[in-house]
Amino acid sequence: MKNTTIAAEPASRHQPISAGEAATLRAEYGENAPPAMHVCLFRNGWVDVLQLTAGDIDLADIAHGLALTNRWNGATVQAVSVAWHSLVVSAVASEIDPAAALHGLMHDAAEAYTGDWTRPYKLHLGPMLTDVAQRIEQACLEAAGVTEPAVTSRAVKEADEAVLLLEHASRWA
Amino acid sequence: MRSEDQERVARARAAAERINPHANGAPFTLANKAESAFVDEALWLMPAAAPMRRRLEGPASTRPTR
Repeated sequence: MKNTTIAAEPASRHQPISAGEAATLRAEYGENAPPAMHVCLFRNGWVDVLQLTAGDIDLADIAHGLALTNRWNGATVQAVSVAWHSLVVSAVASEIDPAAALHGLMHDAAEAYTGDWTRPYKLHLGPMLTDVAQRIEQACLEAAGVTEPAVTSRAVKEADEAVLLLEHASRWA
Repeated sequence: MRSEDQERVARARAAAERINPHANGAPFTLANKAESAFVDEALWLMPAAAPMRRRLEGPASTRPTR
């Protein structure tokens, strides 16, 4: 029955997948085959990235995903995880605005679901990519209890830039 | 590097050194260390009413499972 579900995914939510792709998924995953827009998580199996809500977000998925996601598209001389980056951004942001610490920690939480898209992708691949990323980010912030991200976004952005400069100046990146 | 950027780097370096003082602020080399530090900090900062915290502290039957 799961196989029928894959073929019947509404076109408004997902790009339809071909019969060949569905067969490949069925062959690989059997009855647990994921639909085309689902991503695998550490703790919570599969989640539909286009339908993600705050109720789907789990700290273990975020922490594990960010700890194993490297900054700078992997082009670093040593491991520089997004989790570590987020810890430093949080610390710097809290100095600028004490209310920004949690927002700073969670500012890249969406990358546990999307991976780390480097800036050229975000800047040049159009609104579809950023729309998906923003909706996931919103769900993550809501789940973490960041109720007014607009208030602290300036401090977080400033801290994010400072840590990026540090990563570059330290030749980690 | 511009002087204002040097100030920003110094500020970020000081924060990094507080997070990992044993390695002069360098990133954690072990992923599980980064993961546990992230969880600790999130639990420290998250308000009690945050949905993510409520799920973690809810009944075992509602906790996420792999």
